[in-house]
Amino acid sequence: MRIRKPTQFWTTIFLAAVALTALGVVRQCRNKPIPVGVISAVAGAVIVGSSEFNAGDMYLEEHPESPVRMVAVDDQWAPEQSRTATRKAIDDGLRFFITSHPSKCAVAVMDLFEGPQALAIVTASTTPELTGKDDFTFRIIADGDQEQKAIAEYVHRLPGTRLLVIQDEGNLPYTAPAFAAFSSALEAKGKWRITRYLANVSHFEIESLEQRVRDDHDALFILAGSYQTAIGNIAQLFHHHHPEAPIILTPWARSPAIMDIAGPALSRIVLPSQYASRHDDPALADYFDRFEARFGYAPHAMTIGVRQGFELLDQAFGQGCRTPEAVKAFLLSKPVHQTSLGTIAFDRYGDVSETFYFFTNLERELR
Amino acid sequence: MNGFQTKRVRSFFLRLEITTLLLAAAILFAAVWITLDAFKRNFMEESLKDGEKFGIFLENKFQEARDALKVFTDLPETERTQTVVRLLSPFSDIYRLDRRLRLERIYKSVQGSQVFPGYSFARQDMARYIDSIAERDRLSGIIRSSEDDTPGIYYAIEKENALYLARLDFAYIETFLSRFSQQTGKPLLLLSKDGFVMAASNPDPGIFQMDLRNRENAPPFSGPINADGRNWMPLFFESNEIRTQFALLVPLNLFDALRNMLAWFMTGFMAGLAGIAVVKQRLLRRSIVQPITQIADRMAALEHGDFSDDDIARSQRFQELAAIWDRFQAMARAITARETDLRENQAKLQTVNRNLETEIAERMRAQAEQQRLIQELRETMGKVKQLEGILPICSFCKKIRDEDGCWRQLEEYIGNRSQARFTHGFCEACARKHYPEVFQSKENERLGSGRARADAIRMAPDETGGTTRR
Repeated sequence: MRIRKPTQFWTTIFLAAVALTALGVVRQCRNKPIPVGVISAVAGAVIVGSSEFNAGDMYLEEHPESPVRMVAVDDQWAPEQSRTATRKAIDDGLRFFITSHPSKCAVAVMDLFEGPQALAIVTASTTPELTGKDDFTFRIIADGDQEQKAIAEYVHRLPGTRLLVIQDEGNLPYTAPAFAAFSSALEAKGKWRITRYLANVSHFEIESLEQRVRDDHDALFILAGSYQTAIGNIAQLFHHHHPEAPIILTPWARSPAIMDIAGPALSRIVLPSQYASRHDDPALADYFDRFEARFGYAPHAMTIGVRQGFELLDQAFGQGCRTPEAVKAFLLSKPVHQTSLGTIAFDRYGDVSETFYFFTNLERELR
Repeated sequence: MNGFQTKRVRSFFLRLEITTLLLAAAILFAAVWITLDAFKRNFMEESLKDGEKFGIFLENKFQEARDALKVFTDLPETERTQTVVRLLSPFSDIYRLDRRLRLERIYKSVQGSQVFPGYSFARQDMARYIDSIAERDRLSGIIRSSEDDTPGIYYAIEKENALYLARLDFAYIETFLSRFSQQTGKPLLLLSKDGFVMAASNPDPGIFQMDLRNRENAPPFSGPINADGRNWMPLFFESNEIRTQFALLVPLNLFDALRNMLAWFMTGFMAGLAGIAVVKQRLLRRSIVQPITQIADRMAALEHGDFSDDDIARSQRFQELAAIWDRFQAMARAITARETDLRENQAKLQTVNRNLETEIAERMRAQAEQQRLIQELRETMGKVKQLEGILPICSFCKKIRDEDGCWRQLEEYIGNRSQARFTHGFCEACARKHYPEVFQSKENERLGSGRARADAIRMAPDETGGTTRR
């Protein structure tokens, strides 16, 4: 009888451990999660913020192989908080962001995306201050100038001459340049006379607003964004006094909640949008249906941009891009990017140009 | 080894030890897990009772509010003064609506309200609720209010072709939530049907949305959530009266602490067992494996004839091993002694063998000589035999009759039966007889030349084996 060498058992154990470790390392390297911060407001009882995070949740549930790991960055849609939260996220190692905050927050953090330390895909901030900069901000919606010129063009074709513009003073980085672009475009055509009223849309005082609304107006333009449901109340107030007058909103009111609050004013509302009607775009209709089936509520339109942002980043990560420079190079390398919810064509500064749609049959759009 | 694979004692016991440790860990883990699960389940069931109590209490409170509103609507319009309205403290807003859900009169309104006479409440969720009030005396459930985009619970009463709509004061609800939470130590969340947290007790754990869809078919005590740096187990309740879901968050810090404590205990226990196993392995190696290896080495040495007789048995820890060593030593000594004897005997045997071999060789040589002599003798004897016996011979011609009865010439007969060969000549008498003239002339020459002629006459054997001068 021969006594065997003692190393056989331990060699087997050691080799198995080495093989498992190597396998783990390889898998870890291949599927190393890439944190992507979604900067939005986290709050109860409102669909803004939650919609964006749920859009990210749904994307990742539908793409389990994606290396993306969503990180919620709550900035309360307040500029100071935006800067603090974004700075902290970058310090914590996040390099990629999708933002859905309004322009006032985008302006507060835009210097953080000037260099290659972080890259942001902006889905909602249309302030022209972001336009034409060779930085690491990629905006997948048209800037305020394009948006307001398109709205002005539409308003110009409406009957009437007296336009009341209720400008939201709660988000001046968006509404101030937007009003400037809108008014200059509309006044250049020489038909409409604009009456501007500054109000904090979320917390408007009904008496003073009603006093202004009660005057003679042929149309109302509510220059406010951020999916504030008070837009619906203002629309109702105006409609109560001017039942036939059209009410023009911004693309940032494309939310079922606002339309629901608007009540009878819905029939007079004109809603511009960067995205086609869900009745004309089966992909969008399917997306909204899936979202509602998954989370039990209808999201606002900004979730489309959030979804596209995730798809763009995932495409870049799929090409092996792991740094903001590499992702930027990828995004600028192709003239047109395909996403499941439409195409995106960046110019050399990471901005896009868009055609705007104007919805008038919103009852149909809501169904 | 007939299919058996030999194993090292140490590795065998090591594997046995590891298997035992793993089994012990599994049993311990299962026992802890079952105990914790049972403890958690009992705790959760107690918490469920708390939640049910809250639901009942909330429904009672809302019933009081509803009764108060009914009393209010029973009053004539002239008696609905501000003093009376102030008594309806559970409500923050009270309106009268027309049939198209347009606001006709505001009796009470929260500061900063964004609704106005003429405002339409014909939004989808409100319309659905008001359509249903004729059938059921229920609250609207928690929805986003039209007044200030904050959560609201409405109660509507239809009275004499008028519709009265009142919104519960949410501060009242939140205060109640907070008191309940402070008493039970468990935060409470009011949820909309789509899972949004519409109201939370104070302190607020900071949860804004619950994924109700994914919990529809999940077990009741599954899916803890993390908020405010702690783990919570949400328990969901639904009140049909209020038409609102609420979630009671059971803090899992107690379980977490208990689980961590047990995990540390298990880790320590298993580490202790592993340490004991290591010590056992060392003892096993020193006390059993090494002595066995020594025996094997000694056996190998013994196999090569190297045996050192020492008293190794005394250093053994175990009697059995000492006995084995004793037996081995004795056996080895016996083997050595026998081997020594064997070697000596072998040497002697080799000497004997060598002598024997020499002797055998000599004997073989002698035997060969003997055989040769015998052979020679036999040959000689054979020759003697051929010439022995009585030969019938013709008295006249001297032919001999052989065994077949044939008469043979004397030369032929002897030539066939012996080594003798004949050469013919003639004797003097025959010469004289048969060749008298020749003989005579020869006689004359002989007389003349002396002995020269006589030398020419050869000697030949005669018939009796002698020689004859011819």
